[in-house]
Amino acid sequence: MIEVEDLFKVFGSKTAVKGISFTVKDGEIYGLLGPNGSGKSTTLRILAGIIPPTRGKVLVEGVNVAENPLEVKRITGYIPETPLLYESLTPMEFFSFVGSIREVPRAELEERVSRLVKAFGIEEYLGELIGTLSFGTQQKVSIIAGLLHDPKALILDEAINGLDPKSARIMKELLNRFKEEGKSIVFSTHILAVAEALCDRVGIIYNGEIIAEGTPEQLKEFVHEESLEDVFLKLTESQEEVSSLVRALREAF
Amino acid sequence: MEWEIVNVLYREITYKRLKANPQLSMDWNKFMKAFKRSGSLKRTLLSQSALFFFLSLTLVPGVYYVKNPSGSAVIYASYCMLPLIMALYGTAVTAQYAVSLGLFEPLLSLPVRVGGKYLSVMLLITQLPSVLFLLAPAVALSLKLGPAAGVLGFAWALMGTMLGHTLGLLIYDRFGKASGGKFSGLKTAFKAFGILLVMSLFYGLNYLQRYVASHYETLKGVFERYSVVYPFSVSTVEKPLLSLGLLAVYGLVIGVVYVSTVRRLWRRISEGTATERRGGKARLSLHSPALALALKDFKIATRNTALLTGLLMPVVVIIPSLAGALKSGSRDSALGFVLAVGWTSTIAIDAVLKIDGRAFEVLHSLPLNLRAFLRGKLITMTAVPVTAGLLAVLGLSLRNPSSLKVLPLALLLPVATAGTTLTIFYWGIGEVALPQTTWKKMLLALFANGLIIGATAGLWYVEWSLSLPFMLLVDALLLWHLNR
Ligand SMILES: Nc1ncnc2c1ncn2[C@@H]1O[C@H](COP(=O)(O)OP(=O)(O)O)[C@@H](O)[C@H]1O
Ligand SMILES: [Mg+2]
Repeated sequence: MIEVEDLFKVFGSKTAVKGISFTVKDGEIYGLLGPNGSGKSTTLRILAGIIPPTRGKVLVEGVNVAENPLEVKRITGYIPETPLLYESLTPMEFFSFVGSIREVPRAELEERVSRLVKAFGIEEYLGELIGTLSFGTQQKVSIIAGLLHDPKALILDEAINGLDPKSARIMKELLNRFKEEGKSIVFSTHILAVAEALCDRVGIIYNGEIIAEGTPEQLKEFVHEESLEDVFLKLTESQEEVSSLVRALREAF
Repeated sequence: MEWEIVNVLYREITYKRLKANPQLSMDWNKFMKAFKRSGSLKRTLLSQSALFFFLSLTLVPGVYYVKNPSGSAVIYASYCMLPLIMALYGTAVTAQYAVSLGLFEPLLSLPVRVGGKYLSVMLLITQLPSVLFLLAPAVALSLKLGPAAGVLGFAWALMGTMLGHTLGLLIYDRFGKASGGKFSGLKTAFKAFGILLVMSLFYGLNYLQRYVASHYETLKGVFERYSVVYPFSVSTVEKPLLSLGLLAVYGLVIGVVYVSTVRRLWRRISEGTATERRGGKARLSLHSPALALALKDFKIATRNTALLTGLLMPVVVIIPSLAGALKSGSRDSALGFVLAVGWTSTIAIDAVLKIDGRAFEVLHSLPLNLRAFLRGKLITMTAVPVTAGLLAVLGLSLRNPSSLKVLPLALLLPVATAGTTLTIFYWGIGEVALPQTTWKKMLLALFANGLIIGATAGLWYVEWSLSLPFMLLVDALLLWHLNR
């Protein structure tokens, strides 16, 4: 269970997150859906204990993020937007490193690594330096590294975007398994189809605020629109803006 | 425009370095203040120049109050080692670091012709203040040996910086990539050995040249008293024409190597840092968090010869003193080596803090506390000096078994100096972070370690067995402090 209450994050003169509240129940997939710069990554980094909140309460499995970020890091798996890896280690060495820091028992680690590696089909790259791998393969390494300790809560920042269709499918399968096991899962995306296909509930985040929340169906009903895309554009009031931008672009070229 | 690019690059590297320090990156106001302070190239250069000039005043008496004028030249020449080492070290390590931070990525897609020069100029400019270390001694030299000697002396110091910088670029260009392959361990060992060899060859040339002098009657007049190898060559300032000639030769050779290296450099930069495949078997191996951190550091460093050079440098600079120790074979020579390694390994902190590069963020998403992190860095910092000290003491004990008495110190002293250095660099930092390497902190660490080493040496001469409990006490205190 993840509970976020009136969360604020201020960077200097910029307020990136302005009083967000939401709850992710056990066995639920919650999607933060919003355009670039709306505060998704900032929120998720706070949830993962990486940066402290300026104000507000965040509990991950009952652990307060502001008071005990280390414990939060222990029980959550965080998969960043762009893979952050040691380029001069091999994937296997990186898994060993992360496993050692997280103090995962050997048998468990071996079992999990071998299964995940097979699932994502990266066996042949295990002995090569991460810096030489393609972006997609690096993303897979990053995802596996975030799952090594069988986290109770999962935080994924746009983690599905860079994957090929097969791996995206596997990722969905995996998330559904985790859901059945009762894990709480939050993920962010700016791609509507992804949110529609995966989430139990969606929070639409715009300019640091959640402006609407509900199941994908509820949201559609609420504004009587056909697709979530229209819901999204309507809620963020940018339909007008977008079409005028498109016009401007046409004129420019 | 060129200056603009260098300025932007400098701002960027400062920004990224400060950003890696959560102490700052979490507090916007503090961050901006620190960034304004060190993000301006001009301002940094000014303050560093002032610092180095101030330090250079302390070197004046050494040059000025020597009876024999040749003595002044020789002493000045020995000071000239400093700009060479600083430029070599700074270039090799920082080039690696800058590229690993992705500093040049925005430039890569732009139509710049000799892009490598930006890296070179940025590094060179930041290293120039260290030449001022020799300004006051050069003035003293001109008072002793005439203005020509002073001007030439300073020109030699500049040449030393250029030499170190060029060698640093060469090392980065040749070895500045992650390596691998089946025999990667062996290959890296060879490479490291190669670097050590090249460095010692540099000194070896000096002996070779004497040999040449005794065999070629015609050259004798020139080579008898003066060496052609930097920094020994600097003592030629007594004979301005000869010195000028040598300088010209140096300038020419360095110039040619520099230009060709900078041309090649851009390819190395655009390829990034990891280009070779490693292959081989892949196995999981679990360790305690601290050891896992240190092992990770070693893996990265040994795949990256520029970083490796940074770690080995402290040992390399005192290799000549080891040669002396081997010759005399006395027990004190083993002590001298161990003390010297303990002291010079202080500067390895810079390389140790740069190993993680951009991937330092990884550590933030892991449940890692500062204690385990510092324990890991302590292992990384002590590994090289402890190994070097143990090898040297064991080697020397073959000649003089009483050298073995130094063995415990070879183990304990690096822990003390590395512990002190980490304590100083992490003063007031409460979480996993990478503090900046500032001259202030570096000098403070060198000074503090100098005190510890002085006390150890003092106790040794009073009664050798006393140094042991002292060392244990210092180690225990530091370990307790770092584990707090
Ligand atoms: N470290 C930071 N310092 C200053 N501003 C930041 C920082 N991180 C994010 N921001 C700002 O906060 C806002 C939200 O960013 P982010 O959470 O990355 O958005 P998203 O992930 O939804 O695209 C942006 O306007 C961004 O510029
Ligand atoms: Mg984002």
